[in-house]
Amino acid sequence: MTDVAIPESPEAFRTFCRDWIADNAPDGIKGTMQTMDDAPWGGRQASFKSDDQKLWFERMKSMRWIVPDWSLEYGGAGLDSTRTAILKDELKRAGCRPPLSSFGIAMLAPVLFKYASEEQRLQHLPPIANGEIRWCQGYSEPGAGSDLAGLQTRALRDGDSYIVNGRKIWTSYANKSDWIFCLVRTNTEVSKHQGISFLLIDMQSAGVQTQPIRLISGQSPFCETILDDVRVPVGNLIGEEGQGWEIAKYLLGFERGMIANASGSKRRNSLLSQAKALSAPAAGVDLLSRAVNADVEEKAVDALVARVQKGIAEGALPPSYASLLKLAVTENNQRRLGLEYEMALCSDASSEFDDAYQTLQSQWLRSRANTIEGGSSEIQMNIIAKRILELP
Amino acid sequence: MNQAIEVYSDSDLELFRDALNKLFSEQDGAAAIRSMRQPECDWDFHCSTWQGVCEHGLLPSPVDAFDWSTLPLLSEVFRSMGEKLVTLPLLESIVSHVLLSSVNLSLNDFDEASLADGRQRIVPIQIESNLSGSDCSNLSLRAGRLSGSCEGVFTRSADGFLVLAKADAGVALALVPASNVEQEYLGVGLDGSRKYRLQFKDIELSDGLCCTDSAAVLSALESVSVIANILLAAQLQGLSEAAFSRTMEWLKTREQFGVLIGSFQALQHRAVRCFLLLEKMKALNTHNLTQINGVSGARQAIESKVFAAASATALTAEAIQMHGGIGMTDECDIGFYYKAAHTLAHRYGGRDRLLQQITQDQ
Repeated sequence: MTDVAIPESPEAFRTFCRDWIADNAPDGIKGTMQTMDDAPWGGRQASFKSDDQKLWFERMKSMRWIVPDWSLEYGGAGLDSTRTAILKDELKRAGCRPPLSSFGIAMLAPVLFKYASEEQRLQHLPPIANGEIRWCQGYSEPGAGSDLAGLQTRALRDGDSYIVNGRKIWTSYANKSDWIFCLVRTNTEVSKHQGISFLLIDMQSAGVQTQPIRLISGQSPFCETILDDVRVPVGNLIGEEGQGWEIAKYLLGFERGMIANASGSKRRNSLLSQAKALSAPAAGVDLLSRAVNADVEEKAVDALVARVQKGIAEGALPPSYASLLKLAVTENNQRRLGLEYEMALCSDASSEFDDAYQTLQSQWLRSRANTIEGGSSEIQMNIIAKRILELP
Repeated sequence: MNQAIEVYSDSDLELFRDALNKLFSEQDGAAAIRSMRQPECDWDFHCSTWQGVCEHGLLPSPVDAFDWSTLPLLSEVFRSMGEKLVTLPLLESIVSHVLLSSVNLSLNDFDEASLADGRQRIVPIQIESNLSGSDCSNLSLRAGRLSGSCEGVFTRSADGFLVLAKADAGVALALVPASNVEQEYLGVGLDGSRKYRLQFKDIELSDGLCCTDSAAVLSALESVSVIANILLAAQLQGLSEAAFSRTMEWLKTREQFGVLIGSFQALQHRAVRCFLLLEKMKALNTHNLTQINGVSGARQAIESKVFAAASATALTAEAIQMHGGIGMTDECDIGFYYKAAHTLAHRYGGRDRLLQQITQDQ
């Protein structure tokens, strides 16, 4: 860590942050995140899209500001909530992108803080905080998608190890990840929910294979992960045996929040202005009407996101409201990208082979997954019906 | 840039809500609508409730400029009115007072204090459908004389009418004592409100009772548009909350096939869709309310109204569907929310007209 003295008082800290950002944030890392790929993912195979991106990651890492609120022993800077909020505020004000995209931070860390032993926290949190280890999620299986609790990947105890066999699917970036957090079945004698455990597996272990899955967008962010007699130390079990379903649900709340953020309306340019920029008669009355309607709808979704995130953070709303956000934001993202793509098709100015057109086409196709991944919209509605509306 | 208006604390609003709940619980909104539909009914609204609302001092002054900081509390009143299906001439009085204070007409034929506390009421005519002054040719003001007729929802006990009329130099506002106007009862509107035809037969008006400065009138109408759209959005939210709450209660008590109907996934998902509509409406209304401090908030007001109208009409339709056959009967109150949603959705500009305004302005 840098030897720079961090001011204690909020006022001095704000000035310090503002100056530090002005001196250290390269121009190339400024601007809105369009996707999580706009920040580096870290890990043993870390790659950077630009020198600026690498510089920003390393400078933020040197300040321990990748996760500034984590304590020093876990790799953070130990900032209190006030100073963390100030730092985030200043980074936002300066238009800085995050230094790291990380499932470790967004999904696994909350689980480690709540369920892991101190030894496990000290082993796994610092490499996450430093972007040294990249994590992926091993939840879904070919036969267990929406019915996640029906998963069949077995972990049989063998001395100080588990022997794991099974197949995981939709493991995002498994082929680029170093470790995987997995739901495995450790007991078949009890109900399906009670027989699940939460296990951490090093992807370099013998018997782990990954196969990228080509999607309709032409990209392959998801993989199938095959676990064939993989030996995993018992010490990699998080929580107790059979506690996996409880942990899984806890983690899913964070995953849904992450998807809601990632699918959120990052592009602030209004659809109406895009529609009006089209030459007549391409932008007919119907397209203009749908564009302005979609703008209003998006503003309502943004207001809902702000309200619910604040409510959850303050404890005024239960975590199950993350399902409401996931439902709203992902459907809005599909609607927006659908209209943007339709407008691109109407435009005389773009060719099907332009980079911008290709990117938009890929994003539009990719967005179909938004309402399936992390629990489909139908699963979210089941959760909302039961936990929020308390329907029978 | 406008400063955000004062945001009242949650505890202030809670106290105010409690007071409104108590006030509005004195009448059964649905029962009142059923009564008003009867030809022999001789009232348009509950007088004691009206007095109760006015006692909160929320009616804008007919003389001083509108205080935008009162908008959150006024919104709360309209939300509660929607929730309880309460019919009051509140929007009419607010609109009249905002216009009167903007164009400085003589109030000599009225008692200013009585107007301020709601004992006297001036009803706006032709304002609602002609906010842009685009078409008010039913009524004309020429050389200080007002002629023509119009139909609409007016309360028969009005003390005066504030009329938007066509004039030689554009549009004009004229203030007419009710005694000079012929009123003919026409029937009951969709939401139970009573409609009349008004005849203005070559009424001579002194200079102090007319404003022929078209620019000033149009400017005042802009303020009215913002206020009306925000308050209608709040009323639509209130009725949506009530319709949703009643529907949830129904899903948790009604049995079919030997089980509670709320256990069926098809109905659960319909209910969740309604909940999402409602939550988005609440979030947008709350957010926009903090942004509005004058006519520069026109866009936010339109957004709130358009979204609330679309959501409330969809939600109340779903509410009838989830009630099943009983939802189609006049005996069941749920249909009143549907009718109220559609009526309010079209007041002070329907969806297409409002969205067209955004499209043109941007």
